Order: sequence, then C-alpha cells, then structure tokens
Amino acid sequence: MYDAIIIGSGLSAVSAALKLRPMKILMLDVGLSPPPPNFSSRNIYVMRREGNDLFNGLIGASYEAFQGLDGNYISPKLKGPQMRYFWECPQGVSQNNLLHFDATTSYARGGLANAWGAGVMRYTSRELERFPIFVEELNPYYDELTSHLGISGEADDLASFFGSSCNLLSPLSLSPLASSFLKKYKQKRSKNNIFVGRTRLAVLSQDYRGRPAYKPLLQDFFQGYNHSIYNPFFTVEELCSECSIDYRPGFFATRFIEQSNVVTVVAKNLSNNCEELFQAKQLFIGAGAINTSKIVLQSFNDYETKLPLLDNPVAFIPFLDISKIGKAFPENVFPGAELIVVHNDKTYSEPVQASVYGLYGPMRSDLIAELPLSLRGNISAIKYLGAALGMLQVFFPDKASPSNYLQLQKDGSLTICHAVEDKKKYLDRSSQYSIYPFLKLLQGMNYFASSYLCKFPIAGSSIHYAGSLPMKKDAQSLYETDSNGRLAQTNAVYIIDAANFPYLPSKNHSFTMMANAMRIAERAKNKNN
Amino acid sequence: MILITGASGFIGSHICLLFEKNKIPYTILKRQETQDSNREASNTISIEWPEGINLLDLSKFSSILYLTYIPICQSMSQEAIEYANLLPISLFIDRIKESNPACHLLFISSQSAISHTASKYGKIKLAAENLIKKSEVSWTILRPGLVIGASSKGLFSRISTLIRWVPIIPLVGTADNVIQPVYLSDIGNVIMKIVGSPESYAACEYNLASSPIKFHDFLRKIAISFHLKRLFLPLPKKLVYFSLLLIEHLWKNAPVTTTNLLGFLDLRIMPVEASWNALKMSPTPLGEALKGIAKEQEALNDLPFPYDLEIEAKILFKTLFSVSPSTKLIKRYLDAHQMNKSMEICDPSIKYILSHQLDIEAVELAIRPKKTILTKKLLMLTFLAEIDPITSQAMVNEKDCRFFAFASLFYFFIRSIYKKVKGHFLLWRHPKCMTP
Repeated sequence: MYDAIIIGSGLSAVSAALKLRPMKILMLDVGLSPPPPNFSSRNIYVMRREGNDLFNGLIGASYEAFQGLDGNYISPKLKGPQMRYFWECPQGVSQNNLLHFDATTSYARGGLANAWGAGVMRYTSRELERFPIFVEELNPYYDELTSHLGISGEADDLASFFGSSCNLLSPLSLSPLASSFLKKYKQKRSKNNIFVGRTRLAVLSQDYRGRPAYKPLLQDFFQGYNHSIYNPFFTVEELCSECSIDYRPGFFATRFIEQSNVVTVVAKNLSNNCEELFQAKQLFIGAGAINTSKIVLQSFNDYETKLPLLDNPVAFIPFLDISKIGKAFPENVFPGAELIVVHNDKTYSEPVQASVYGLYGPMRSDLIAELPLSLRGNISAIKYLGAALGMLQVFFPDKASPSNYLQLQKDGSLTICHAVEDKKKYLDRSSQYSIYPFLKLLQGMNYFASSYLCKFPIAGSSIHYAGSLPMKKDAQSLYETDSNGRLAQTNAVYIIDAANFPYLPSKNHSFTMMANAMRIAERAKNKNN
Repeated sequence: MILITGASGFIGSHICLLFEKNKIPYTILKRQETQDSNREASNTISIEWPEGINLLDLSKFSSILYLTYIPICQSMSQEAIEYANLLPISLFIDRIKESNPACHLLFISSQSAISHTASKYGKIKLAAENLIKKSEVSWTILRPGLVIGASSKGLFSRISTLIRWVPIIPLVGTADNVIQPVYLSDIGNVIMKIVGSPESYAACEYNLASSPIKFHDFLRKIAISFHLKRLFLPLPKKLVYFSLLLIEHLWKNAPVTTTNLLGFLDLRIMPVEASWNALKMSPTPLGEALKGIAKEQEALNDLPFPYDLEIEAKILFKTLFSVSPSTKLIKRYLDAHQMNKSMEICDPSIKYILSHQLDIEAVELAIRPKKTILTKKLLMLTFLAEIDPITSQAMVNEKDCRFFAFASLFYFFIRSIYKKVKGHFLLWRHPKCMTP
C-alpha cells in the first residue's frame, strides 16, 4: 500500500508530489507522450527560406493544420501535427458531450501544461477574497515554485498585482511591437487605473537547473516539449530519477472507494482494458477540473448532480501599430504573451487582465481568414502587417452559475453545458464584460483597434477550467472541499487542481493552482504524520 | 513534323488545334516550370528552359514555329530579359546548324518591333529578328498587329473582358492612336501556308494586319459586337503610366503593364498590302472578324467544363497567388481531400463558379460569412502555399518596405470594396454560386 496516490501528472499533481516527499507516492497517469521532434532546432522561417519542406511539421501527414477551417474556433496552438498527443482521447476513454462549450482535455503526460502560455502570476489578497484561504498561506509555496520552475520577469508596475519579484530570472527580450507598447505606456503613464508590465513566464532566460535558456525559433506552436518552457513532466522525471515517486503511465483512473482509512483507486489499464486496484492512505486528485469532477461523480455513482464549471470568458482585441506597417517580420521573438495589461476601469468590479501578444506564433494562413479584405488582399495584408499586428487577449472573471455545469451520464461520459454566450455583453459599454475600456486604452496609445475586428470565442476557449468542487470554509456537501482541499464527506481524498477554486479572477490561475496543491499536500502530509 | 514552342499561349493553342484539324504532325516543346492547365500530351517534350535546347534532337523536324515569349516585368534587368527571350533563339539557331540545317525557323515577331520603340517588348522582338536575320538558317518572320480572337488568353481577351465587365472604360489620352488588328484565323492560315512549304517563304518577312483603326473606334466596335453600351473616359497618359507602374509592382502578373502601354503608344502604321499580296491572301475585315469572335466565344462558353479536383486546384491557386501551383502542392491538395471525408471532391457550387469563369475572389468575399466550402478550399491552398518556399514569400515580409506596404494595402482596400460589390452582384445574377 502506498502512502499517497496522485492522479494526473499536470501542474497541480507534480506540485503536490514535490511536497509529499518522502512519502511512498504512486502517480497514476494516462501519460500520452509527444512524438519525437520533427524539426531541427532552427528557426522555422530560416528553414523555410532555405528551401526545407516543413509539411510534416506544420501541416501534418493527416492534414491536422486544416482543423478549424469549418469556422469553429480552435486555438492555433493545438492544431499543429506534433500537438496531436495533447488533445487525443485514448481508446477506452469516453468523449464528453458538449453544449455551447469547448472543453479541451488532455491525457498527455504533463497534462494541459503541454500547451500552456507559461504565464505564472500570483493571486492577490483581493483575488482570494472569495477563497477560504489567505495569500500569506500561499506565499511560501509561490516562492518555492519560483525557484523550482525558473521564472523570468521583473519588478515593474505590475508588482502589486503579481506579488514578490524575488528570485526572478531576467526577463526575455521583447519584440519590437511589445517594446514600443511598453514605451508608449511609460510615456503616457498618468492614470492610476491602467498598469502594464512584463508577463511572468515559466520560460528560462538563462540556463537554469540543467535546462537551457529559451531560443526564439518560432516552433512554439508546433512542438509541445521545449526544455526552456516549464513542463510538469520535467518534475516527474526529476522525482522518478530520485526514486521519490512510482510513476505509472497507461492508467486511466475512473473512481475511488474509501473504506476505513484506506482509499482504493480503480484505474483502467489502457494496454489491456482491464481494471486494476491501487491502495493508499491518501488520495490526491489532480486530473484537471473536468476529469477530476468526473472521477468524483463516478465514485459516488451520481448521474443527477450538476456540478458548476467556471472558465474565464475571453475576448480577442486585435490592434495595429501603424508605425510598424511594412517592417520586416521579426523572426527572433517569443510568440507568447510578452506583456500584461491590468485595467481597473470603473466599469469593472475588479481589475481585469489582458495579455499582449504579437501574432508571430501561428502559421500566417491561420490569420488570413480573420482579416476583412478579399483573400488576395488578406495575403498581402498579412505580409505587410506581420510586424505591426498585435492581439490583446482579455480574460474576464467567472463565478458559478446554474446554467453552466457538468453532469455524469450513465454511459460514463460527461455532459458539459454552458448558457449560450451573449456576445453583446462584450460590446455593451456598461457591462462587466465590456471591451471598450481596452479599446479606448489602445486608441489612446495611437493603435488602430476596432470592435468590428474583435473575436469572442465560445465558452471554454480560455482552458482555465475550475470551480466544480469549490473550497468552502464550512464545507459540508458531498461536492465541496474544505480549506485544506479535502472532499467534505471523505477522510483522505483531496482535490488539488482548480476544481477546488470557488471563483476565477481575471488572471491565469496555473501558478495559484500549483501553490495551492503544495499547500494542500503539505497539510495532508502533516495530518498523516 | 513541326516543333512548336509557346503552344499554351493565345496564338499557340489556336495553331495546335489547326494542326490537329489538318492532321499535321507536331510536337510541343514545353518549359519545365510551365504549369499548363492542359493535360500533359504525349507529343510534348519538356525541357529546362533555355539550357535544354542544347540537348534537343531537331533532325526529325521540318520547321520550328517559335512563339515563346517570357513576359517582362518592370523589375527585370536587361540581362534577365535577354536570358529569357534572346538566348533561346540563339541556342535554337546553333542547334539547327548542328543537327538539322534544313530545318526552317518561323518566328512570330510583333508590330512593335521597330527601331525607335520605347517598349521593352518591341525592343526584344526587334533584337530577336536581327539575330535570326544574321544567322545562316532558313527563316521566315511574321509581324502581326494586335491579334484578335476568341480565347481566354492574350491582350485582346483582357481588353474584351474589361469591356464586358466594366461600364466605364478608361482611355489613354484621347486614344486616337491607330492600331492594326489582325484576326487569329488569318494568322493561322498564314502559318499553315508557310509550314506547308517553308522553302517558298525562306528569308521573307511579312506584316500581318488589317486596315488601321483608331483605338477608341476599335473599343466601340468591340462593345457593339457584344451588344453593350459603354462610356469611354479619357485619362492623362502620365496618370495611366504611373498607375500601371504601381500595379506592376504590386501584382506580378498584372493584366495590362507599362510595357503594353509603351508598345501601344509607339505603334506606327505598318504597310501590309505588299505582305498580303506576296502571300496571295487578304485579311478578314474587322467587323466580320468581331462577329466571328462573338460566335466562337459563345461556342467556347457552351463547351462542357472539364472539371476535376486538379483543375480546381490550379484555378483556385492562381486566383490567390497569380502563379500556377507546383505538382507537389496539387498532390497534397488532392490528398487532403482524400483524408477529409467532409470535403466535397466535386462541389456543385464550385463547379458552377469555375465553369462560368466567375470572379472567384469577388464571389468568395461576398459569401465568406456563410462559411462555404469555397472559402475552406481557398484557405487550404494558402496553408499549402505557406510551406512552399516560393509562395511563402508572398506572406512574409523579409525587408522593411514602408512605401510598398502602404501602397499595397491601399490598393487591396479599394480592390476589396470593388470585389465585394462585384461579388454581391454576381451572387444576385448567379444564385447557384452558393451551395444550399
């Protein structure tokens, strides 16, 4: 029997594992692996210029790049042929039924972090107001993770939103677009409700703990496994090499049974489709909010209850830097979120955060259909606007609503239902979801931005799933967790991923999810001892 | 046996039909990079142009009909122009001398091939004529005026398309320049006569054209032959020249170029009577020729459209990039259809659009919000083009070029407005463009 079983190998699972050492730990995971890299480690634009055929890397033998041409939005980051392992559903695992919701689940080793933006921002006291925990409880874990992951960033105007800047690595160099964005902000920094600064990224700006510094090869959208960008599986490998965990890929955990201080996990061995049982004193479920909820519902054989599901509503606001029209396409840049804008407009009840991207990562063709000219015109526009086009990805906060839920079906699948998204809420100037404060900000900085070009993808697109098993101070119901992450009516079953978030502020939740998983694991370990 | 170069062009394709009709054996010499929409014929030799000429075996050919002309764009250097258009002729001359001195070279020149021309096209044709005349091979030179005929190729087809689609026709200056059109059938008949007995026409040059006519009268006659009423708007020559210059920079294969304009402005009346008399023929009068063309065009439109996925790929790709797709790209396009079962291989709406030669760019822009299969297929081609080292350059700007960027964006902005209006008009006239 193990001391602890962890389900999953994503950000929260590995964070918990770090804290549970030196207990005897079993990590159960489906653990799909990425295919071997099919690019040499060179910039893809240089390779193409030299006449290399990049068909297999960019389009794929099964024409994976053509996904989404039907008009259904799919993140360009998930389309690459090498990213198939990320979203592939293994045989023997039932697919979810989706209604007005785009749920991305991953059975890859390292989980959803295989395609994350690597943004690692701490929650503030204000953002934790609806949580039964305080920021002081998370701070030591944030600090520990900062040293473990290697985070690039700096102490700037966002320090009051992102917390301590101790142990940060120097920031990555900025693209010309982001650099001029920051410069314009600094020149016009007069209002006290707008803050712009560097994104804190789990991307290495220098060699760190045996991992190399980031090289801008623009392969990020096409390769899932870059040693310079933190992937939780690096920690799994570390823990395995020091024999701290027993990592078992190829197992799909379906339910748990708790009896007299022993938790039994039932998992399907995907190689022979047979169920196997694993026992431990404590169970930590970190399979991602959707899969974690499924395991819990299956454990209670509950086909009636509708669990809430949160996901940050998201709006994309393209903008154009007119001074950069016709400039050469920057090939040596980081294609992720380089800057963060925090807007504390009076329209919003709390600060709303947006990431600033240059559109360097996806294939040019992914952007062609989004422009308003004829296709010939769009081809020319994408050429000359390549260095001038940016995107503001605004994340709005989300709270539980009866219309947004997930429910287990008798066939073992989940139905995930979301209210039809009313896109007008983004265009209503007085709404909590209004994009106008950001449009005004961009226009004030002399960027061209128009509400006509904004995109509002279907719910679920931000892939910030949370809130199905919320933490409560006085947790009592079957599907609530206490402030230590323990499922209310169990003795030793802990929810360590974002399923236990009672609320989703307007911020990437990954870092807090990791810190919280560490906090839960440490308290559970102490309790066990 | 006759060897024909430039067989995919306006005159060349007509001559091939004539040869077939009259059972004259012929072989097409094709440049390797050419992607002709016609099928690869068994009587085709494909060579690397022009170096491959050195390797040709000309012993079985009695005549070479030289029709190839590589279009000149403004940015081409003099060396590049000569490499593409003069070097092949000198290589042919050498090859004839080496492998078959009895072989006759029939060269199609132009009315613009005059010594004082400012047109690069005219200059290169004149240089080619001089090269041939100085050589010791047997030759004949034909100098046609503006060739008119039913086809989707050639300058005349562009002019007639413009008249058919645009209600207001811009004129260069007062457009009282005189031109001398010649009917394609007349050229065909002359060529048939010469290749039938080349020795009788050796070392002869013929001016082939009909009576002179002012350019604006010519345009009006075309409009009348299509039963259309058009307004003609004179524009200053310099404005037209600089507009064309800009268009040429933005659009690699612009339908009308500064070369066309200069050639047109420099035209002088050429004596034709002696040539027709020497050939014992007479030209078809313009009115009669235009009537014939209108009928032939109708017959062409009524032909069943040979639709398949490969032709679709070629036409759609050309709509996007103005160049033909590579064989590899076409194969990938076909494979993508095999892989994706939801992708219609023979979509009726696309077949309708292609067979009616509708403006694909305009139709797509009008129907884009409906997310039709046409948009999907065009986007597929952009993905495939992006990984192609040649066409990918159309999407990535490698050097700072602010002026052309702004000019290009302005041009495409205006063009898109026009295409949107045109697209909606086409949808109204052709509701079958949309798959239900």
